[in-house]
Amino acid sequence: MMKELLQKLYDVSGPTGGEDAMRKRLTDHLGPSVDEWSVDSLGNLYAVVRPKETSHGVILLTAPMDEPALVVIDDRERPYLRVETLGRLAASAWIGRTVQCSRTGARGIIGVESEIKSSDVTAHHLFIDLITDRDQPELGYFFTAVTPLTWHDERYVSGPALTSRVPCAILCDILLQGATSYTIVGVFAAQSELGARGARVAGHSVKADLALTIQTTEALDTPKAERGTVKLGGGPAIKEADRDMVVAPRVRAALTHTAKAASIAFQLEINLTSRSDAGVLFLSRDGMPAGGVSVPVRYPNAQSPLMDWNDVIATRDLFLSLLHQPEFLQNF
Amino acid sequence: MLLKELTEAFGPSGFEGEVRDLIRREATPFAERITTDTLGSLIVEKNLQQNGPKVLLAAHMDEVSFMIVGIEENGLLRFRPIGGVDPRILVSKVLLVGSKRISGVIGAKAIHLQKPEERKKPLGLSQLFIDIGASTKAEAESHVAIGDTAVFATRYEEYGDRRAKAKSFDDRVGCAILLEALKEDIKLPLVAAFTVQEEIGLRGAGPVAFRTKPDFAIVLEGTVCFDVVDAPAHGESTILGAGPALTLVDSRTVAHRPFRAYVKQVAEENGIPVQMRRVKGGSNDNGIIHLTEGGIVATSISVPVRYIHAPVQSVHLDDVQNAYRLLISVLRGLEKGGFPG
Ligand SMILES: [Zn+2]
Repeated sequence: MMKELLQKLYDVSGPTGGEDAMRKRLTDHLGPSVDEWSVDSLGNLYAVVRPKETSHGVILLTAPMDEPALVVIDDRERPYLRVETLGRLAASAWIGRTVQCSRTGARGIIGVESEIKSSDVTAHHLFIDLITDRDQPELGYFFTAVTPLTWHDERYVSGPALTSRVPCAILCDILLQGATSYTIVGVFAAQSELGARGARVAGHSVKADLALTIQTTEALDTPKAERGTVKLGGGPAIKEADRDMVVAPRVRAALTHTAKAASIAFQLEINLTSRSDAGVLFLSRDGMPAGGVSVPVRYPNAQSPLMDWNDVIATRDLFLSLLHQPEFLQNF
Repeated sequence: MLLKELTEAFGPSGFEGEVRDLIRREATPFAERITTDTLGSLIVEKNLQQNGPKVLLAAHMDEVSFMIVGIEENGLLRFRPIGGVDPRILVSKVLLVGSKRISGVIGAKAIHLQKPEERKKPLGLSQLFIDIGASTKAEAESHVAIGDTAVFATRYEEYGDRRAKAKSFDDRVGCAILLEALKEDIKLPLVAAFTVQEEIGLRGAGPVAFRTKPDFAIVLEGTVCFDVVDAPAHGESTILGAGPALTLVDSRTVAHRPFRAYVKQVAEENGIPVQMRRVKGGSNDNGIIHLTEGGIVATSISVPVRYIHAPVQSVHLDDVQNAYRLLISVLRGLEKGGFPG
């Protein structure tokens, strides 16, 4: 079920700053399970699921829906298009990739000026070879990488857009499970790749009793990796600290207690170099209780981010267990 | 337009008082309410009771400048830039220093005294100093104090074919356009904000947007134009004389596509040339305005400025005029409900 959902979300393009197609796919898929929809000027998609009876509080759940992209800035050398990069991928990481325009579907290949050393490559050395002169995109159109989702032994999955699509699939599945005793505001966040721009605005728009992010965190269990707390296959990583925030003990405890009670193996995410949407959420308005759970991922900044499906399912289960405790917010 | 007086006024980031006083004087006859906020931005409001969407127009008052951070025994001043300045362009430039606006020249060790390896490297800030003609520390201290600021001394001048040069078109050209727009009879609730501290991190515009809560925002900016030597076509950003530039993306904003498309359509309908800004680098007040509170639909109209952030900046007066025409045409369109939001 979740695997098909992931595939469905993976098949649409979600360039950061141009997430229209993702919004459409998500609204189509969730349809009537959501009580109220809205979109803001940044492109965030808000999906509210109301409680069965009186609300025991408002819980904001966010998942990023955007992926790194190229934006067309010059078309005077057709069929070669000049671009700027958006999001976390280095310019050199785009070389040789097949890309697709999120609005026209036109495909091209990323070339690089030949005189440049790979370590010196910037966006200004790249171009999209659109091959033919047909379907010329306008300036400002986005392209994203076309790479199929790859399964390894049915348990591991890799693909460049996984860092947004897996969180979206988890949030979708939570919203599809129906009403709880809370008002759940699901936010499919736009422009997360650009520094939590969508989450910043969402944190102002939704006055929540608790905000939790569903994101990914780098598994540092590879040869000569930086020291870190998170392993692939080690279960959901409950955020304790990242570059932008230290999670309040009561928020973290609500998650760890839930995991223990539900016999879900978990680990703690302590990564002082990684960023997340949680950092802007807890600073929004007059301060908002916030935390997060992250799915471990190897190679998040390369062509093939890799995840363990068991971690994905366990992350979703942890959220469902939390949301089905009717009283936990009262202990806050 | 008030280009000469505005560009020659003294306005380092955080010290915009002279520019603010000048704008307040000019705006008063057309304003219903004028406020200076806590950070120093000047907020001019018109048509407060008018129906229709409230539009925030913003231009920043501050310019790239310098702060005096030390006075040597021989009367020379040590300084640091406020805002982004390339230290390589500074040597031999004339400045106005401190509240008395005394002249100073940026100096460096003479070429014949530089060691061979020094000659190969551009001069860094620590090798530069400001010479105000004082021979001793005490003499210098009678004219300037640590913490005083300085700006380039360039005067406004028109030259060539409809060109003008001055020190601070970024963003006094935006200020001049906004002041002119205040004179028009536009039936919308309008906020013209002259913001502070843009050059050091878009600091002034956020509180302005928070206070005024507009439905739409339009930022008027001077933007980078490098259509001269040795630039690849896609590195030039904008072309001088090709019309005001609209933003696709910059380092702080992905433009709101429908609003930009609307502005472009208005330009086409009115025969006003526009171009797209073909670079991601740089940013303007929109970077903070569009993220304020629950998000604000915003766009920028930028005037190409050659040699931006340098002592002599250059604009094409047709671009200035066309940016003004475009702004007014967009406001007339919004008046008629042309862009529902
Ligand atoms: Zn500027």
